[in-house]
Amino acid sequence: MSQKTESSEFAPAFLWQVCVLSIIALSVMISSERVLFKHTPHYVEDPRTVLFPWVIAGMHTLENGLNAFAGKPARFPEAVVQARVLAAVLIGFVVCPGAFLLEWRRRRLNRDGAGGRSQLRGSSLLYGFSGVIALFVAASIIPISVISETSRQHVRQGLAVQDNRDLIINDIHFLALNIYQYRLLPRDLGGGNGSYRGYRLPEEMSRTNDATYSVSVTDHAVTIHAQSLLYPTASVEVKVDTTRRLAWWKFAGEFQ
Amino acid sequence: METNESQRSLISIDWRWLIVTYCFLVLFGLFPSFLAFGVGTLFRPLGFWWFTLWAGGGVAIISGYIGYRSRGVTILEPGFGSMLYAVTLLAAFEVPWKNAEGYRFIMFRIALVAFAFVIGCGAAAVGEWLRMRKEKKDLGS
Repeated sequence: MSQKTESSEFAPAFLWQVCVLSIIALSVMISSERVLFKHTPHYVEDPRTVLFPWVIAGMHTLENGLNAFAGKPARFPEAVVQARVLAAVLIGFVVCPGAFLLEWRRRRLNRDGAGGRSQLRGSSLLYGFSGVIALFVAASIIPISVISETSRQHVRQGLAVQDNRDLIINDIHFLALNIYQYRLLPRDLGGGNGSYRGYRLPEEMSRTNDATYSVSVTDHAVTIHAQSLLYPTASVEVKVDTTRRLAWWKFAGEFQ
Repeated sequence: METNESQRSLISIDWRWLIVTYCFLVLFGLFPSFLAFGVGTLFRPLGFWWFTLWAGGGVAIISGYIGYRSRGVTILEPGFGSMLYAVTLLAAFEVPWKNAEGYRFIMFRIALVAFAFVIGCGAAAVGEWLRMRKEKKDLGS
C-alpha cells in the first residue's frame, strides 16, 4: 500500500456515495439533453438553464409575443416550464444557499474541536455542491443586473428616438399638404399658381413640441428641414416635388 | 530509502483519488454548468471555445484542490481523472451532435484530452506545492 493510501482520507461510505451521485448526475444530464430538449415546437428555443428562472420567464414572454404577432392566443406556461421555474427558484435561492450557510456555520463552530485534516464525507459533497451553486448564482447576479439594466435603458432610448422620429414624419406630411395646397391655389387666393415660389412656412407650423421646421423653396420643389428639439443632433430633410410626393428622405444623428 | 518511497508515491496510482477526481469534476464542474446553461448548448460552434475554457478552468481548480487535499504525492490521479472527464464530455455531449464532417477535427479532440491531462497534472502539482508550503509553515511556527 502506498504512502497516500495508508491512512484513510475518506469516510467509509464516501466512495460509493460519490460514485452513485456522479452516475445519477451524468444520467440526468445526458437524458435531459436528449429527451427533454429534443424537440420543442416553439418559436423561441428553450433556454437550457435551470438556475435562472427569469431566463425561462423571458423565453415564455417572447414566445407569447410572437404568438400574438402570428394571431395566435397567448399560452399558459406548460407544466414542465412551471416545474423548471420552481426548481430554479428552490435550487438557486433556497436549498443551496441554505445548505451552504448552515454547513459553513457548523464547520466554523466545530473548527476548534477537529484536530488535523478531516475525512471527506457525504456532507462535504453537499457543502461543496451547495457552495458552488450559491457562489455562482451570487456572482452572476451583479453582471446580469448591470447588463439587463443597460439593455433596458438602450431599448427605452431607442423607443423614445423612434417615437420622436415618427411624430416629426407625421408633421412633415401635414406640412407637405400645406405646401402643395399653396402650389395649387391661384395667386388671387394667396397661392403660387402652379409654382412653389413665394411659399412661406406659417408661424404656427414652424415649431411644434417635437421639432422646428424650415423650408427652402424653388419653383418645382420645396425642401423641408426638421430639427428635433429632444435630440439636438437629430434631423430630417425631405423634398416635396411637383406631385406632392415626398422624396429624398435624409435622416441625421440619432434618427439614422 | 526515503527517495525510493517518494518515487514510488509519485508513480503509483491511487485508484480512489482517481475516482474522486473524476466524480468531483462531474459533480462540481459539469453538473453546475449543466444547471447554469446546459451542456449541449455549449458544444455548438459558437459556444465550444467558451466551454473549453470553462471546462479547463474547472479541471484546474478541482485538480488543484485534489493535489492540496490528499496526503502524499497525488499528481497523476487528477491528470488521469481529467482525461477521463474530457473523454466523457466528448463522448456524451459532443459526439452525438456531430455529423461525418465534424470528425475531421478528430486530432483536435485528441489534443483536448491530452491537454486535460496536462492541466490536471499541472494544477495538482501546484496544489501539492501549496500543501507542502503550508506544512512547512506550520512546522516552522
